[in-house]
Formats: sequence, C-alpha cells, structure tokens
Amino acid sequence: MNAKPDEYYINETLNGNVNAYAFLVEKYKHMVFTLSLRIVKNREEAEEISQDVFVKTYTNLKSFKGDSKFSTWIYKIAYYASLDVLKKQKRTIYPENIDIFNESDVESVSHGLNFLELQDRKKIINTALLKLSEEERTIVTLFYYEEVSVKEISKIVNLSADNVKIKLYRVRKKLVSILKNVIEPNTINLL
Amino acid sequence: MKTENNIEGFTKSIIKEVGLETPSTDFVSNVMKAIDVENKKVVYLNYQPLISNFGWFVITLLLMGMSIFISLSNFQSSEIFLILDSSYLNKFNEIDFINNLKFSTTFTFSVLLFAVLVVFQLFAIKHFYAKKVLPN
Repeated sequence: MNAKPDEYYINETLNGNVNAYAFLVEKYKHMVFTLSLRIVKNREEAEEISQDVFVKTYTNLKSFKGDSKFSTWIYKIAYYASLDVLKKQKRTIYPENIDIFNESDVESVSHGLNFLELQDRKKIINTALLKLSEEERTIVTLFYYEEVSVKEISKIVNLSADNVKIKLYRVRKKLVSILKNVIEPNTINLL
Repeated sequence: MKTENNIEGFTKSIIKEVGLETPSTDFVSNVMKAIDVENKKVVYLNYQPLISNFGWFVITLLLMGMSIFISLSNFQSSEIFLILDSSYLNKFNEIDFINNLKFSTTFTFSVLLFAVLVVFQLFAIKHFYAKKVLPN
C-alpha cells in the first residue's frame, strides 16, 4: 500500500485526488494517535485531536514545502495540538523525579518484567511511560518505536539535537527507575 | 559503556513491545468525512457575486452605448419633446410635498429600529452561514 513515497500522495492530493490523502491518514494514524494519547491520556480526546491534526494537515498541505519529512511535519502538528489541549484544560503535569540509578537496576527490572504475563507487562510499561513528562514520552516514542532521527525529533519538539540526546539519556534512566518502583510492589504481590 | 548499551537496548525493547495505540476502526473514514465537509466549506465560502463579470461588462457596454447615443443625437431639439405636453409637471411644484410630510415619533423610531435590525441580521446571518456548512 505504501510502496510509493509520501510525496506522491501529497502531489496527488494537491492535484485534486482527495482519496490519495486517505493513504497518508492510514499510514500515520497509529503514530499520530499514540503521540496524542500519550500526551492527553484520554482516548476520546486523542482521537478527536488526531482527526483535527489530519484535517489541519490537509487544509495546509499547500504550505508544506518538503524541507523536512511529511512525518516530521505531521508529528509536530500532533505534538503541539495535544499540548494545546492540555494547556486549555490547565491540566498540570507532574513528571516523576529520577531515583538514584544503579547499574544493576536494568537487569533486575528486565527480569521482573519477564516474570509477568504479556498484558500485565504492557500495562506496567504504559504506566511507567505515563509517569514521564509529555516531552519525554514523545521523544522516547519517536526515537525507539518509530526510529526517528535525533535531528528530526529536534524539529518536532523544538529543541536542539544535543538537548534531545541529553533528554534521551535521562529518560532511559528515568524509565528504568520508574519501572523498578512499579514492578517491585507487583512482584511482591505475586509472591 | 556496557551498561549504557544495556539500558539503551532495554528501553528500545520495552517501547517496541508496548507498541502503538490503535484509533477506532472508522478513524480514516471519519477523517475523510471531515475533509469532505471542509472542502464544501471552502466552496461555500467562495461567495459568488450576484452580477457576474460578464454581467457587469454588458451593463457597462449598455450604459456607454446609451450615453454615446444621447450625446451624439441632438436629443433635446428632437421633435418628440415638442409633441409632449410637459405642463402637467408644474402641478407637482404646487404641492409642497417635503414640508407637508410628517411622521410620528413612533413611526420614525420603528423605521430606525427596523433598519438597525436588518443590518444586524445581515451580519449575523453572514457570520452564521460562514461557520455552518450547508449540507449538499
């Protein structure tokens, strides 16, 4: 389905073939929805934001110059649209602080996760992700899932590439630290 | 360094494992419907003038033609004005129409209020239709 590059579908859409845009929606719907959901933490809101993002992208498609990737552009729109919703609702963000990180924590957390059922494991990882800040969640999702380059991420979240690298370094440790705190009580309950 | 690689690999594996969230099954169709509505809105907002450019062209041509015809043909001295008896027009001068015209205060205020309402409605209706997309 996505054998052709994004530019093909963009040009087709701009030439009046609106259905070509459906391919882009299909291709990016999961990532846009995930980014939005991980920021607003509400499925209905995330779905509404994602829809608006695709409509907004469509109406502004003419202004897309292709300086960066289409994905970078749409993720940036999704990121700021989701943050806007939080801002409007004045939802305060309290990101978790990092505990003292021990090198052995990675091993123990990894082992702890392996003891859990797949669904429980996913649930715990999601809980840990939600304890990161919106920016950290976005960066980590884009970098590790979508494998977006640091340069592209820096354009999306409007930070320097070095800053993104530093944040990635901190987020990794923070995630392990959060997971350690989440897993320990769970594994104790299992025993 | 080894620990850093471990933690990097671990983070990648957990993020990959948790995967992406899936929106509702009719997400794409909902987006396309919203885009369809957006397109109709754009078409609707392209106001069509009551008199087209061609219409204005014809009107200008007619007016120019008439003025040229009047200025070229010695119209005032034509015989048709001699045949017509325009003395009845003088009777209108005998009636002091403007000075005799009197409106009650209620009537004046009613007309004024009506005018204000018409202007208000004009803007309100325009604003309303600019926001609302007419179906089909």
